[in-house]
Amino acid sequence: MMSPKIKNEAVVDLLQKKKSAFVSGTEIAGALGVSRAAVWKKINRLKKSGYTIEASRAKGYRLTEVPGLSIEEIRNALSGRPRIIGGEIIFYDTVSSTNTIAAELAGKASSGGEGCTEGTVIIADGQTGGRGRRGRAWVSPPGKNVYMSIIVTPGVPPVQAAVLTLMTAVACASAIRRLSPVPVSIKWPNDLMVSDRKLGGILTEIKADMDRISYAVIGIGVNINLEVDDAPDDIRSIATSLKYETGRPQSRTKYAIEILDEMEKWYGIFMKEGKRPVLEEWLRLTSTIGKTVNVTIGDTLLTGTAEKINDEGMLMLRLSDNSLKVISSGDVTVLR
Amino acid sequence: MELEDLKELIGLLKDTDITEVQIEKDGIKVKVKRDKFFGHLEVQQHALPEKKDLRKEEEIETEGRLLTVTSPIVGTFYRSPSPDAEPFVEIGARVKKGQVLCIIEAMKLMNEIESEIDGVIVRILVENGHPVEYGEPLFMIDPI
Repeated sequence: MMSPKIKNEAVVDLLQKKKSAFVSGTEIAGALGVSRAAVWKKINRLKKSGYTIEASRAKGYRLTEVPGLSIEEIRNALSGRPRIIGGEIIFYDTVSSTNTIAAELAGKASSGGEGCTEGTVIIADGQTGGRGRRGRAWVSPPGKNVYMSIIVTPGVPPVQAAVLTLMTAVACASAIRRLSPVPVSIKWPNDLMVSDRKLGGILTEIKADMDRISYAVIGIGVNINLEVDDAPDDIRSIATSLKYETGRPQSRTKYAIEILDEMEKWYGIFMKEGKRPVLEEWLRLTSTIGKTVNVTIGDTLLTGTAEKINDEGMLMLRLSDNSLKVISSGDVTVLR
Repeated sequence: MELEDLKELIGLLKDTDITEVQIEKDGIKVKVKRDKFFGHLEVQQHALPEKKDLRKEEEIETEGRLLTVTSPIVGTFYRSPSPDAEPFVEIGARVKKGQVLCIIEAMKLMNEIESEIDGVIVRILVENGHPVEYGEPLFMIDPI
């Protein structure tokens, strides 16, 4: 029997209405005017795209986890106490880039217009122009990962702002470690890695004069349920996701909440105690220090030992002539 | 300035932390600069402008009112948003207040440097992809 096309949302809606109770296949089929076989197919497709649906021959289907970002859930989870990060959350279905949206908003606010409060978070289901460093693309299919940007106005001189990038890596790595057994580590300065594959990236953009920054937009992308097919060939071998690492789909909502909670904690520490505790925690979570690394800076390639970071968080690279070079930016590849 | 003098100057710099020495003698200005990053020596020798040259005098006067844009952070200087993209500005370009001139990156923190005034880009003082120090001059802008 031919079935009319049924939308994901229709099935999910039905399952969600019943909360954690089972809904029989017959009931779903009846409500949507399709065959039970079509429902079964749809359920399987939903499972593949990250929904956790329990199936029982006798009782039917039960939704136990929604991969779709539940903004309600994030708001509720964060509303318990006064906070900076996530005090306001703006959700978008698909945007060009959450960083772009956040920068526009922060720019308006800093020039005296109607804008936003500090800690405002922009979350999107997908991005069409997700950005990485130096114009590189960040793979951002809808319905799969966490893409968010946080606006902060720490009022520090720009020289101190770079620590924000290490701080964000610390917050993200801590959050992921709390929720999963995946051994995530930080590659200098702020890549989230599982061994030599990239799980997440952080891109921070600031507006500043010589004395102080007017705002910083911290963009976070974490691959939650990204699958091999979602990634273009050139990044397949260098990217990973929590689903890939754990073998099962993970809740984007839970990770978003945990990351925002850790950001609140670490931003508070940074503002109160300065960069020292941030750098110390970064050192506990990094997998770069002590390794032989290649650093590419523009057209220049340097090989050396990643010996330590300095007080600003910059990489101190011990070269073969035993000199110590300070690296403020560059692409690091860990060799051994 | 004799070659021997130059050699001596370079030798003086070699084993120190000094990165730049500038000497004016007999109407010749010599600047010896050791690029910290690449560790090599760069020698520039210019004839000093003749004081009587009217045109040069004008230039000097102009320099006085030029606005120097400096780097607010230690980082890497980029003239374009991505390696394949066109530079934000070229010499001779008219810029408006608030227009992006370059990006300085430090540890994946991207700092877009904007022009503080309306003007014309007279000089670009750093090469794309090169490291810059805090307060290092990046551009000189002639205000309109």
